[in-house]
Amino acid sequence: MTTHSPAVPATGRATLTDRYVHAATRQLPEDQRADVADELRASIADRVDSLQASGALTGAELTRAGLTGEQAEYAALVELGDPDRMAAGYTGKRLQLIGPELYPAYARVMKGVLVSVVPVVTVVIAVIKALEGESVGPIIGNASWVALNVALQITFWITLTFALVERGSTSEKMQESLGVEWTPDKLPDLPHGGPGSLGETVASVVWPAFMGAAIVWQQFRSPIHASPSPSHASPSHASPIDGRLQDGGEGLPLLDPDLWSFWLPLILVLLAVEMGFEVVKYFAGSWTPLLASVNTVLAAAFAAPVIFLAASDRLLNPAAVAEIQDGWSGFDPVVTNTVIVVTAALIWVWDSIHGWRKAWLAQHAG
Amino acid sequence: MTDDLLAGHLQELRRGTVVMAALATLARPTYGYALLETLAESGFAVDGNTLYPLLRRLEKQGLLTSEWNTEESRPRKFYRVSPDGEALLQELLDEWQTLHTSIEKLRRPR
Repeated sequence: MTTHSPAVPATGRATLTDRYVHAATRQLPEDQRADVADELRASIADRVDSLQASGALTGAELTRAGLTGEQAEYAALVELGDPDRMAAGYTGKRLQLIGPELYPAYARVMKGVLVSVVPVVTVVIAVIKALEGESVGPIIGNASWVALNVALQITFWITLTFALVERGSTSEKMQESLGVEWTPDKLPDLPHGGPGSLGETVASVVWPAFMGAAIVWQQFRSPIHASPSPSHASPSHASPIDGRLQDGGEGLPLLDPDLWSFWLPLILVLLAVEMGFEVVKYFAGSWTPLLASVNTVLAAAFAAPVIFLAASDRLLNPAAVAEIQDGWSGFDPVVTNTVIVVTAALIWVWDSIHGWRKAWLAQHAG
Repeated sequence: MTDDLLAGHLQELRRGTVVMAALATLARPTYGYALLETLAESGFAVDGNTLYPLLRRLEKQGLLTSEWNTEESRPRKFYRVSPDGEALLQELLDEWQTLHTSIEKLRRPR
């Protein structure tokens, strides 16, 4: 063992120990650095000697006696671990971006700002783009891009602010000035009744029933009536159902009757499944991650066809659109489709988050 | 009770006792690595990256004094407990006793 002179060799390649000691002490004040470095170097050398002499257990692996100097040095440094951690031990620096003191406030602020700002900005952008006459694709693309960027900016700046507060010496005062200090006023409301609440379940069952009824109703009792002009009662949209209908009342379904071949029945089935799920949830008594997962998937299964149909302009009945445009030339099916897409997406996201939040609350209710 | 569970709680309990163990050991002047081995033999497994900075901190707090010994081939920094350190150790040991007594009382109420 000749490589461990107390001072860094002026010439020749620096040993691993030299590099380790440098890394661990470079952040120390000038007046302590050399002293700590010398001590650390001696401690490493002692450990190296001991490893070579005894073949001691190091960590999980057994090192055999008769290690070469370099092997023992390597093993000794592995034991000491990250020099930055060692340096933090000497300087008393905190090895955390945002510590447990600040983290609850950080998470609270982050969630609050993200949840309140991102959806609003996204909807505003989507509406502006829709008013500018963009088509559905670019609107979705644009709004998603803006939402992503807003979310990234918010995340970055809030994290930076809290990281700086964490490093400030008067973290409590800073917390006060930021207004993020916890007080009992900040307690969230109790989950009102949870999934076992009968009122909520009834509401949740009635809503899909209402949706399904509306889909059937617009087919048979549409408020839109074809004008006498034969051009609008286009035979190309005559399915068995609407053929029978239009004989009677000249009602023009708002949704494309062609969708009855597959899509609308699918949506009705999904609504029925959704109602069944609400009942299951009621009897399950409390939200669980499994229920939340099923809820997310169900909501997605419902949102996906609606979004797909609206985005590809297949949802609205062209005859009904033409009829509406006769009376109101400003009616733009693109805007309507966009609103449907955005609404369906928001409902899906909200519904999913709602389920997960309830599941989380149920699990952490103590 | 699993071994992992026991080990976790024992480690938690011993964490606060490393300072006591170090102050007790350093009644005789000792250098860092030797202290590490002594503590490990007595069941106070502490990592170098914890102990070496800890010694510096205790020295800064006036609980230890240190001196370089350059008589041997490898110069080493020897630490020794100061009068303040001895007083602190006594306080800690008294507290240790109090805690022990309190817990025994809690185990056998009345």
